[in-house]
Amino acid sequence: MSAGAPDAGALLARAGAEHRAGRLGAARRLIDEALAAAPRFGEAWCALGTVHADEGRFAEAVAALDVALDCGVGRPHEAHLQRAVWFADHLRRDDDARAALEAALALKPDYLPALMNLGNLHEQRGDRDAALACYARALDEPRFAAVPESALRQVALARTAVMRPPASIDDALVARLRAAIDATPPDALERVHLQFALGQGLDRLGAVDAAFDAFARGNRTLLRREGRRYDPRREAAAVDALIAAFPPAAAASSDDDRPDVDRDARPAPVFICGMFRSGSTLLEQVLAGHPEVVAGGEIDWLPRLAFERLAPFPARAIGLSRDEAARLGAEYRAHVAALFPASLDARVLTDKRPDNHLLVGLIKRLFPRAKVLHTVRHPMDNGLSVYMQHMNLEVTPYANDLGDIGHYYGQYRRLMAHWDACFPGDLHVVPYESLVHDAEATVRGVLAFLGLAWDARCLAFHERRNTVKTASYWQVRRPLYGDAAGRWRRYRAHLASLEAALRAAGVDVPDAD
Amino acid sequence: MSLEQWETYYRGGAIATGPTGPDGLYDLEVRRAWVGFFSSLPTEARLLDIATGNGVIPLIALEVARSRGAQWTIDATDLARIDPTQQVADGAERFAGVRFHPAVASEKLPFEDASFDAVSGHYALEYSDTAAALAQVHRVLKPGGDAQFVTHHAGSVLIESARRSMADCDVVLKQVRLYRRVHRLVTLDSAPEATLKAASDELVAGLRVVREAHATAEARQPGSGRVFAVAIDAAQKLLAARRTMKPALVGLEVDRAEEELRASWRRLNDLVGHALDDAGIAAVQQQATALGFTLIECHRLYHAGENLVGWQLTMHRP
Repeated sequence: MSAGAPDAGALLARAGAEHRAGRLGAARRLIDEALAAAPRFGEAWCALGTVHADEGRFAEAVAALDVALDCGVGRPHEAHLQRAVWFADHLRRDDDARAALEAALALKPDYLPALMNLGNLHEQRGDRDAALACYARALDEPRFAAVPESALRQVALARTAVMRPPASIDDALVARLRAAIDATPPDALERVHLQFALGQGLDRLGAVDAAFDAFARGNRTLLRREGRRYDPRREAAAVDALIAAFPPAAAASSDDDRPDVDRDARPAPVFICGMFRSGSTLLEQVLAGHPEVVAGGEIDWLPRLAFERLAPFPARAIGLSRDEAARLGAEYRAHVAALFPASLDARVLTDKRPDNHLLVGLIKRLFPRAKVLHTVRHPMDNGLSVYMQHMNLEVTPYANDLGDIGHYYGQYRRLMAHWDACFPGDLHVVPYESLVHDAEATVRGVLAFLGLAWDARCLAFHERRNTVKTASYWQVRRPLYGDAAGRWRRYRAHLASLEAALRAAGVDVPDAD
Repeated sequence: MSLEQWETYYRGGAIATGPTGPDGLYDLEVRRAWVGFFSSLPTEARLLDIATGNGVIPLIALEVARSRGAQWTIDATDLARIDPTQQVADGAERFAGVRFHPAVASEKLPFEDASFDAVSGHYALEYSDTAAALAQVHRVLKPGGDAQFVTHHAGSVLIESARRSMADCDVVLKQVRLYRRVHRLVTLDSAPEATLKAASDELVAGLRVVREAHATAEARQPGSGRVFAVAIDAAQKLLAARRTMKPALVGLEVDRAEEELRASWRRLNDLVGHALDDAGIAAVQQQATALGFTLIECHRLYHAGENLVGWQLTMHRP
């Protein structure tokens, strides 16, 4: 370290405190000062990278880590892993992510987190064999048994079981999963992975009661670990606030003089929303087969806009001027054009996030002509599917309790009914059941809504080798299948609290599929 | 079960029975077991804590509620005539929002069916007729509600320590009969010199045995000879009391002190007698299954990583 290093170290420590306090600008200024004093101070470059990442500037974040590595930072394997996560999750540069993970493993061959991330990346890309090979290494190679992160081997077992599920109830894998669950500490995260993997395996085998038991245990473990975060009153108040901020009258009055900025702009953003596990990933994959569509997947620009720059949302969005809205719309276009250069030649770019449903009012401010595809599914099947999936509580705080799921579903439908009233003709409902049982007619309807010609390649989506970064990544690798439609009937004995909560929320619960 | 001893114990204001942190509540894994349980509950809920003693579990629940902004009403029962709001320091303030129900058996809970979102009990369930108590817990839980119990484990450090203390009590009370020797000496009034000397020699010999036992215990594990220390201290104080009190009154004090130690023995005997071994906890789980509880899970609960302190048993009413 240079002569200025002690000062730089003190500056960096202060920057860390500012960063932890959420003051990113102050943190960045202190890091800049540290780097001015000691330009080859690798740790300062690392800190700069994490600040950039928290600002949503992932290209700059990666560049900062590149410099850090060049300076010879301590624990370089961790810097490579961090780069890989940013490449994969935010920059859509999967090949670079893979190279970064391999670099981490080359530096530290027993760095299990890098190997697990590599397996996960292969899963997202649909490369089943490569993913299984990673997990097999994690489980079989002795070098991973004694590392501090060795609990991740249980996750490797869980992922292996999900990809290569037990063939029968007597399959040794079932016993192995159960033994692994018994051997993990009561509130450990790897236990959750194992419980959901066991549940999914048993569900496939038709062992309904045992499967439900495994899911319920997995959800309970998650609730105990993370705490019950869903607050029904707060959720209802949030929906009330959105409805108040974007009233139907305002939407109608602006209808006559929609700005024309996006009339002919290509690609037209199409927003896909719906409950988690309602088929939104599937729908996007279907559309991705169309030569004039580029699938954007989960783009975090709009939620960042709403919940960071426009915070408190929606209060601050109420006063958004037309010029500001147009400027923000142009910013969005520039952002997605950089992420998906190929989309400039396409007619449609899909932006698919289940929680786009919170943002329809804002979306229509930015893009008055935007079309919204709304995937819906039988509420019981939808609720059960959410419950059966190991979800991220940060994103879906309601997902671990059937009553909470039912309440949330009611709030989401209330909001969607509001958007329907606000923007008649601009929202198109795509029922999951129609998509799996009558795919062609359903897809034709969607394409017509979007003004696109029919293309048979839409129905061959499962052959595609693109990256799917959602919980659905194995479902969408299979041809359209109907076995998940109506599944709730088999589980009905366990779903009383879901049904009660849905009915209490005024949701129609049809007895037929 | 020796109820009176427990009432005496709780009147002393002790909150927790087991390893505690600086705030007098359970700490480390034991605390986490309860924080995890309460954290999983909805923001609006009604809770019941059975065999609550001086309300240690309600205190942890209140702490979780505060940190989560949850609004819980808490009922807490005990077979003993407890009154934590009076007997625990700052009790009225600390237990705001908790309704205590003294003299209530876990086998006969005075609540409507389906009243509670969660039922808890720490070193509680095992003191009852577990099948009857679990049936009551099932009855008062709402469908979808959860219960968690921490019970004594027959092989826990607490039970091992209790067994040792009981053996020590036996040395003092039965083998040496220390308090009888004290009693004899302090109640001798204007007796012949020889009689006084004999009683005195007898007491000195008894005290020597107890002191040696104390030294042996302390050498084995510092702090483990507490029963002996208490008995020696009591004997010395009672002898000293002769200078200011009438012999008959000192004699009564000796009886009272002896009874106190006997009550401790009974409390420890309760604890040891109700601790569950593998077969015992398996039987409780079977009772829970038979009542219709699901998601039954049972773990050995450790404190500070290696000290076994009980069974952690959770269950769900579907």
